[in-house]
Amino acid sequence: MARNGGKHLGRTLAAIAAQTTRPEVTIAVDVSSTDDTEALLSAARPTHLLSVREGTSFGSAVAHAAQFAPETTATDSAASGGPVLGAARSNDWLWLLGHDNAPAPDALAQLLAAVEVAPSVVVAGPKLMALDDPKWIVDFGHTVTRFGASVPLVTGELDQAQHDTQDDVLGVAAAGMLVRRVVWEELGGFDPGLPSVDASLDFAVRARLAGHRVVLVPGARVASAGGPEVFGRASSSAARTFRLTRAAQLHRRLVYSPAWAVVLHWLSFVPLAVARSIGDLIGKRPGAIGGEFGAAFATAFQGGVGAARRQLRRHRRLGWGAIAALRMPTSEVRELRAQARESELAEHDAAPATGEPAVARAGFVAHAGLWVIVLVGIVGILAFGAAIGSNAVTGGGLRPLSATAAQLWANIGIGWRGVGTGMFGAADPFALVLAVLGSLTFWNPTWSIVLLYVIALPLAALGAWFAARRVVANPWLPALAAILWAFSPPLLSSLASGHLGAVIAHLLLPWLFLTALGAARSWASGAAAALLFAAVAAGAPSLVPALLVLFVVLLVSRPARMHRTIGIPVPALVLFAPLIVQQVLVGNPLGLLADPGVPVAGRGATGWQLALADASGSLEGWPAVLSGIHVPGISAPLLVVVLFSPIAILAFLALFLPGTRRAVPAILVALLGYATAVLAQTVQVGSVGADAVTVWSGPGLSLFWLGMAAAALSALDAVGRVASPISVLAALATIALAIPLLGAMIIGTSAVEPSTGRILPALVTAEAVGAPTVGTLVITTLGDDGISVALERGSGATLDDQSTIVSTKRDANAEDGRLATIAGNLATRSGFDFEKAFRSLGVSFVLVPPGPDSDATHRTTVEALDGNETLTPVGSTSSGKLWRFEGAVDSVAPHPGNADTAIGRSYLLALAIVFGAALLLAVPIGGRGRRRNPPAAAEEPADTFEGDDHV
Amino acid sequence: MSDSTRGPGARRFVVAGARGVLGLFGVGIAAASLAAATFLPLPTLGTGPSSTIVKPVPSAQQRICAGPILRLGNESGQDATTAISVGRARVTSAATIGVPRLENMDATQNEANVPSQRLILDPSAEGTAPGILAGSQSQIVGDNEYVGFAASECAKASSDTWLVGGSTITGRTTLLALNNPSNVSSTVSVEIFGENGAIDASGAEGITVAPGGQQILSLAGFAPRVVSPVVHVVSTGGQVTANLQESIVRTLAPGGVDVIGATTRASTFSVIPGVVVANHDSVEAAGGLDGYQDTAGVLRILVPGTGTTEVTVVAIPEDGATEPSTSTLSVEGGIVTDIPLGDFADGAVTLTVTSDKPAVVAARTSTVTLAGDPATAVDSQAEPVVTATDLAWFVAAPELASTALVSVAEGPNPTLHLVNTSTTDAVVTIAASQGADTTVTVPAGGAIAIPVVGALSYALGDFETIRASVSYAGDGQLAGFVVSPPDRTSQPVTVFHHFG
Repeated sequence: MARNGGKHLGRTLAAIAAQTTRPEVTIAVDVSSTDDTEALLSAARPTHLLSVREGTSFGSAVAHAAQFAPETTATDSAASGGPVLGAARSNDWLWLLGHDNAPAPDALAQLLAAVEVAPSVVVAGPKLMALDDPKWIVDFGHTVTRFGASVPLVTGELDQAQHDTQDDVLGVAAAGMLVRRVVWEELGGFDPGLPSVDASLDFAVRARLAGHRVVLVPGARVASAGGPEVFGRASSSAARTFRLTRAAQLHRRLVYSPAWAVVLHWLSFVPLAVARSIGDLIGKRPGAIGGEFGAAFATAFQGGVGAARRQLRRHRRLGWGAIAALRMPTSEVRELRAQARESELAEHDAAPATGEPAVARAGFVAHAGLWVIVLVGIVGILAFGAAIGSNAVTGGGLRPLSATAAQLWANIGIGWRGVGTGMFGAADPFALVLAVLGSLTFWNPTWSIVLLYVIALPLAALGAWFAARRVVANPWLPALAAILWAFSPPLLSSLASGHLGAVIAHLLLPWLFLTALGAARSWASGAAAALLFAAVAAGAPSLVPALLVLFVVLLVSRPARMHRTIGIPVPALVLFAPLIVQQVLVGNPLGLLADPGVPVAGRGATGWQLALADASGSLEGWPAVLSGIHVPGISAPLLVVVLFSPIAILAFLALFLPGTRRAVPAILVALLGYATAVLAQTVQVGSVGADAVTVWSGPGLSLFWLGMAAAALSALDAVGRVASPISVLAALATIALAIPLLGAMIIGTSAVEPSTGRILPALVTAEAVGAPTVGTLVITTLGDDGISVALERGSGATLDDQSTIVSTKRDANAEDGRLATIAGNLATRSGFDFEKAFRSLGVSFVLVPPGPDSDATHRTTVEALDGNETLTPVGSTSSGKLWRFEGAVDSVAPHPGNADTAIGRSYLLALAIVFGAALLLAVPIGGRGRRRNPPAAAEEPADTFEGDDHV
Repeated sequence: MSDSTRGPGARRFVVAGARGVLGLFGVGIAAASLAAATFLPLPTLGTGPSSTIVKPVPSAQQRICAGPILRLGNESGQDATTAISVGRARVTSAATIGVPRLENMDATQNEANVPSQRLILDPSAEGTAPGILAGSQSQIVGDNEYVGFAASECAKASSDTWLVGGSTITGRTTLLALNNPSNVSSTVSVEIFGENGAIDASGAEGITVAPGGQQILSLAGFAPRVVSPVVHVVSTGGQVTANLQESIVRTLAPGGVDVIGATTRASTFSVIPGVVVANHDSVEAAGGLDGYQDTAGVLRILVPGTGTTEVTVVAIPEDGATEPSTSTLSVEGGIVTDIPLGDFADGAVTLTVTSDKPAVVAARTSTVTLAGDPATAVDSQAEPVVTATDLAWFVAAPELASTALVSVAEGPNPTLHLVNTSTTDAVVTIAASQGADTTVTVPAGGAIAIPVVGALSYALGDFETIRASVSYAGDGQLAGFVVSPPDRTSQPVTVFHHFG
């Protein structure tokens, strides 16, 4: 049987010719080879030269050849270069050889000798030796576990005659198999349902059940280039081999099982595939998942099971108990697996010792990591501890979260976006981050934000410390990195302005870089990077272009490991997909860059302010502080430049010092971050009142700061002993720079402040308990610009209710128009039919937030509302003046939730699958995947061999 | 050539040189990006604010006229808490489009009273601009306690009114009248300041005025014996109109009556147009008499809040020839200060008050008629005999933009005062309800007086910004009121959408 086997065929044909016992008939089968196989076969002058069509399996080819075997009385025949058969009705034997199976000269003689002495033996298998190194056994008998998985008895062992005592086995390999022709024909040859793997095992099992014996013949040696899965191929990928093996196992399960269990087995295929996939993920074998499902579906819908079952039943003479003794006991299976795992681990652990320079890693406790984080934590408590007793922090881009974790999870996916007049569409990816965050304090989800504020600084320090440890040699520098990252102006600025997404992105960026750099070496690291990428992208969509650039750089820098890194953006892509589709469909792709959370209009920073890491244009709060304490002679811009200069000088110094391999990428990252920050300000995504909302520059500046800090660390790494005093100077300057922002919540310059967590006045909140869709019109006066109107339902749109698909809307819809009309009429004295409007909009309250006393619009608006006879004044509240419409209002029709539509459900499922898979893959247990194939491991000597080449 | 052939020193040199070039290159790129980000005009992408201009459904405009002079108690001094009307005021009204209706308000305190009245202008037809409504009232009284002439503008309701004027010392009665023309009940809080600071008045909060109703309160009930009160009226619920009515009885001689309308909100720049200075020689002569000290002109000023404030007062004469006179003084916050007006020739001056902190202001002048020939009466050393007096409070005028309507109630020598505080001359077209249009020029920083005819209305137009008032002066008759701008009501409103 030969298929594109020109490479080995010559040797095989020669070996057949050199047999001490020659086969009487040689039938060569060429399976549509495209190389010189056919020529070689015909040159060997076989008795018959057959040609079968492309794709014919080994078993079918043998069956085909067997028909051409003449009715002889001779003892045997052989086929070469293909199935080679000798035949005699009574005592004819078929010897099956593939193109790579060069037998030793005495192989056939040994096999025949073995079968002659034992008439009950109908199948004999030789010892298959590695083609290139005949000292190694590649295959010597098969058996099955209790659950029917096939197990090779021997794989890849040096032949020291340790297995020569083997005799009776359950199955042998097809290659080199000697089989009695009568039995072959009686049992119908190999099962067509098993085209590749396990065909010979299945045949042997059937022979056994028919009352025959199957033996191994240690003396007969036949070469083999690989198992049946590589027949006619250059190689078989691990995934393909796995699929074939699994499909064969499932097929055999259907064939062997009792009739009543067939359906149960059949039904169990897909659930089993799911369960096994989860196991594969935990075991870091994501490549096997395709095979699990491929095998399950292929086997479930492939015919031939019935025929195979009939064939089995017709010739079965013994019960399954007959082969029970030949199965592998479970204990032995377990031992085998344990051995495989141990050998893997040994390889992994051995590798770093040789591949990595012996650099002492900084110790978390020994090198001040712990102390720095404790100190930063104390500063964090001083700065934000005022909030810890509060229910919530609100203001700026922040609002409370929904009251229960279930509501948080109801706000992910595709459904009704309950903010403003609402819209059916995709949730912000950030909603998922909020759902996870809020679930951490499920008894009061909003409090998770308070907690995050209090521990944001130490969390930032922690991430930076571990990330820095990976890239610097000086063990003390991670402590500096922790300080720089915790007190970085973009983080503090985002905290002060309530850009929660930017805060989370900042906290996760070091971990993202850490895991992305490790992704090439480990599935777990790659999956973690993918999850972090999704979280960072969700928190700060404006960072995505820059991160994708860095991702491409990562791919290109490790092309050989692309299979592990290419998937990093996948969860983010799945997370963003509905939003991308929807924004592109409405023609507003720039809306994708909008920051999640409550839109905040900023005045924006100029180019040079951004270069000083000042995202809000307030020079890190210094002008306000300096004017507050009346320090003469200090100009705020100059002070900020001076305090920023240590980092800037160090960063650029890095380019002049050794270690440019780290400094150049770091500076490029900084440049990328700066460009992101500058361009973010040019993108308008919606509005607050009369002011446009631009994309927040904080995340861009976080990236900028990351690059600058990394470059500075690189410089300090290069300067040697003077690093310590300079580090202290840089740390102190950064802390000093951060003082006004750190004190923002205490002195009240922060937009974010501790609060009760109510969005609307208490009366509305109380009313919303009974009527969750009660509407409140919020009319904000804008001085000479006019007024702006927003609609809140229930107790107000929470942070997780916010949606960029709504806030970046380009055109007002009909309901927005009605809101504007009623608001415009409410703001002046008017003959408008308010009752009808309130009733049809389902609005019962009107709230006017406090305005400056000098605002004539505010005054006239309040006067008009006061004089409006359809409204009852409720009074002043902390959120503004409130009026109530006492009349009955129409109830608002319920809107579809995220699981109420087919598309919503499908998307949730997709999210669950992708994130579940990534999460399982990222779990740092069960790693170092088992490999059954030591030669494959040898190709990849060690995953960690490439070592920690710096950035 | 490989580095190895050059030796380690040369190699180090090359590496260091390469690093230097790289570093300079990096610094150059950084500087270029910084410069580009700072100086390049970056385009703005994406969507900005979206707004809709909403034209409110027109509604009826209304102005509330103060009504007749009131007194507490009847003529025999009984029933001292009930306000009783004295005579009847005459209303002149006009509208640029349509005809205003005059309706009686409910006289909730005393059914027997002549009620105050309101002017109602129904909305004009769909699609046309709303008309401007204006009205004023005047009343001449000659009672044993009440003499003189009072005129006031029919006012818009407001939630926040400053009233500067009045007095509650012996012989001076000041009433606070609150009218609620709306359809909802109004809750009024009254804040009173005096020459000694804010006055803690019990019962001044939570005064309820029924829809369409009136409340008359005696200021003395809240703040007795206050020389210089200033009243701040804040309403919630329905908006109210508030005015003060001051009357003077000197011993037994009635000394005048005035209805004081709302002055402008606290502002760092206030303008009081048309402060009439009448018979200043007689006033000066009478000033020496017991009880007649308050015939002298004063500027009353209150800076709400604390701390001292520099105040600059400029008096602009209307003859166009005399230079404006300026004086600067400092005023304590929260304390009402009466500043004596200087000695001005007969006529009218416009006072502008500029301060660092917002202030509320009004001015009072009086007219005095002495027995006999005025010249001899003043020159003779004999004690002057006053035959008639009246007082008038002139309040700060709101800014008018482009158009306004003035209704001039009947009265002695009505005069329209126009003030232009801008830096360019203002040309004002004056269209009388009867007679030909005229065009006048108000010089930059100047004021002019135009004689007008009572019971007529004048539409002012074609200007940018001016302020206007009307004054009356006669023998023992003095009054004035300011001209309010057209209602903001029913003007288009820009509504910005807030999507979420």
